[in-house]
Amino acid sequence: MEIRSSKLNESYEKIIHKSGLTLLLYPKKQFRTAYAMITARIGSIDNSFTIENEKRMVVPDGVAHFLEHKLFESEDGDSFEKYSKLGASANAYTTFDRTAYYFSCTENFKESLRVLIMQVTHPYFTEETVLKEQGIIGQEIRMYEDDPSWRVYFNLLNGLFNTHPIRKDIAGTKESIIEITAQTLYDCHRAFYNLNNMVLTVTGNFEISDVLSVCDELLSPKMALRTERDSIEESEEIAKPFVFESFPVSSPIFHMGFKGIDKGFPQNFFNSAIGEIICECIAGEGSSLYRELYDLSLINTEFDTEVMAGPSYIAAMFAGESKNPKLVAQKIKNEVERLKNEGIDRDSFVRAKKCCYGRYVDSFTSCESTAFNLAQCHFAQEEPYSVLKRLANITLNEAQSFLRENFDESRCTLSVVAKDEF
Amino acid sequence: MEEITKEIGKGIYFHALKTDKYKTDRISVNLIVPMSEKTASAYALLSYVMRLGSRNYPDFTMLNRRLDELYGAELSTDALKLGANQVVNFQIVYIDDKYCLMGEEITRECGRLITDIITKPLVNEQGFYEANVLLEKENLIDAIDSLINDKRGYAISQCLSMVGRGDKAFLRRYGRREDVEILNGRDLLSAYNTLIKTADIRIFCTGNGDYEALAEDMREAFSLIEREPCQIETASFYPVGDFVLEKTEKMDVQQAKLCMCLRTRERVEQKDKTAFKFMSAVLGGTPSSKLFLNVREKKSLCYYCSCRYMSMSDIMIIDSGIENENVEKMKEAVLQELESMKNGCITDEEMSNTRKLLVNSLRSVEDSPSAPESWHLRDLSEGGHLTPAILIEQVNSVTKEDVINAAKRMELDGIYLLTNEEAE
Repeated sequence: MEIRSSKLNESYEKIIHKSGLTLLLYPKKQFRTAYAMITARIGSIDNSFTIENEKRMVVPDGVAHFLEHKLFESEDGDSFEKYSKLGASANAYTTFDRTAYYFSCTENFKESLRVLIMQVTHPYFTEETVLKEQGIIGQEIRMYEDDPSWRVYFNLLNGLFNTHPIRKDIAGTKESIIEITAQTLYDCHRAFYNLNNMVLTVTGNFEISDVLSVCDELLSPKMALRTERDSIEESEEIAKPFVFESFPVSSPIFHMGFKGIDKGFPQNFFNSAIGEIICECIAGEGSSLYRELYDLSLINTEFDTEVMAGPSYIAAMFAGESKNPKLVAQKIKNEVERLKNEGIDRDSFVRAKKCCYGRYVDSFTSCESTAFNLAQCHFAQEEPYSVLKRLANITLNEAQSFLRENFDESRCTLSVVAKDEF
Repeated sequence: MEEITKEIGKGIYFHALKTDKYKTDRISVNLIVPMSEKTASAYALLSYVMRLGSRNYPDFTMLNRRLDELYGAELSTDALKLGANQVVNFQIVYIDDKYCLMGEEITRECGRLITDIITKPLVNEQGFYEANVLLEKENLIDAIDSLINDKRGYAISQCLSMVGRGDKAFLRRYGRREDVEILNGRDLLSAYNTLIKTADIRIFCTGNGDYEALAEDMREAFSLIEREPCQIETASFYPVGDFVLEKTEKMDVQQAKLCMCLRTRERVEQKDKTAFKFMSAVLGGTPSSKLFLNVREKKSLCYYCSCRYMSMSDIMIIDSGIENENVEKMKEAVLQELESMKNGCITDEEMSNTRKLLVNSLRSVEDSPSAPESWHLRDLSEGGHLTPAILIEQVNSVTKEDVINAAKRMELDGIYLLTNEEAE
């Protein structure tokens, strides 16, 4: 099925392959590069689940990320080497709710796509290779332990959430990954790497017929397998209003977050777009609060806002460096209260909306970000072009009511890393 | 894709790539001057202060609101380093006219806005406004100090300072904290006057705007400025020292960072640089490199261990993050891989994999709105006249012997270690 955007004057094909795999094919013929990505709906939060008619499984933290690393190995060698032979540049990443594998190339597209498909559909793990990976991932975890912006972010999540698995580091801990065995990986692969739950997105310079012929050649129809994730219990309240960690940094780094009301996908996804507009109104570069904080040297250009949203969480965040994070947090809270009482000014709303619209348009610029968008929207049960259209049509009333519902002082956490406690 | 290249003033080069393949367009203006300890901080501070406004937009918030109205056009300014040169960069990124919701044409306005920022700074007779200067001095000092927040970047930077022997190509892009502290609005105005008069100016545009009109607007704005442009400098060469420089620093870190610097006895000639890039990629520049496959995958010593050749100064940096107790093991493993290359231990497959990946990355340059610019600037600073296409040809003609000979010329010059207080 062709899906077209008159605004962007582009289109893509959505095809459900007979194997069950969803294909989102977005040719951009002016590019030299082709970019292909397979995404599975398994992330760090998926650590307890039941495959239909089987017993419930609880797996160690960090298993989705570990699996991402290990799917680069197969019985006949390392996938990185196979991509290298073809001149394709490949990598992968794991988020809270997804794992993605991708490559980009300027030649040998079909052969590289074969490697990608084989890589995610043919797991090969041995106790020995799992052991080796524990050393490598152990060092990856260590690296993040020294990264203040990563720490301040996870400390915020630990303050905002009580029991939600989003509190846990995506890579797990040195202790948790030691418990991972080849069998754990096979179990998770079977539970979550079913073609019916995966999506292949391809953007850039490629032929749709090439994708279809590789899929026909390598993928036979699979029975859909139902894997039920444990439902996530999380109260609306936050766990802690303030989290501090001592760290060798130049000046204090802070993340402040408002825990929003979780409405699941697709609502959380679209709400994150409304949230972005509101964050712009509160503390965007054109806001009076931004100017006040900047003039008082309470923030510098590192200051930024963001809304994170997933299948079972949504939060608005304000982050930056400050000599006095507590004062910044207080001023943000005051501004939120003022906007709730006095209402968001229409001019600032229109500006914020234009700004967010522009950013969303930009996300279709590169092959990489287009593929990312398509996959993210697919799992959020949204259509990327309709998000674009709706973004342009959000009303001030919708924004006001979202602000009232989701920016509550009592559901707000400040996380700070600094040399000394204050 | 249509290309426009013209000199629109003395030493002011306007370059536009007209294409409709991107959703966002960009205009980037680079003021290039020789790097110098005396002026680095002032030019860096200028890049910060000038972002606050222009005579047409004297108020920072009004400027930012205008940018928001232009669909979140992003105006950014920064000071960068390019070999032995410092670059004061101004850029604006904005959505292409055809995606504006009400048929607005914003390209020309974005062009005027950035030209104003550069040619009509917010000053009075005394200089830049002291309040703005004070504010941005604090921000710049924060930025200088924040280097320690990124431990990997910090370790590499410390290693480069150690092996730099005081040469200007190894100065830091924002200069020194103490030099920033003493600057005032008057100093900054005189720095501005020198910068705008003497910089080699390179303007790059990508997108679908009317670039003839934009070039004309810019020519006019710059025509009021008296110009005596300087030359872009190439970096000096320093041979490997008589002994290996070593430095260990302690900090409260979980993971040790090891950074090794290698260099040659004699300057690498331009025609040989591609073989050095190739060699560095075989050693540790790709996921099928020796360091990745043998040190990470087989020995599982680290998550990353990578190698880069800095062709402007002819040095090679190898860095990794490891457990404190594995420092010696790591040094040994790295040197062993280099030694094996010197002894000719490179397979045909390693040659062909590396070749393909290098070619792929060179071909991809044309798929990014900003990559051709970085490419061109780097090339200018090396005094060469290469294009990605010529470099692809060179990569294709590098032989195994070339790679072995390049490896043979690399010798250890410095080892920097950032480690935990508790490590011995």
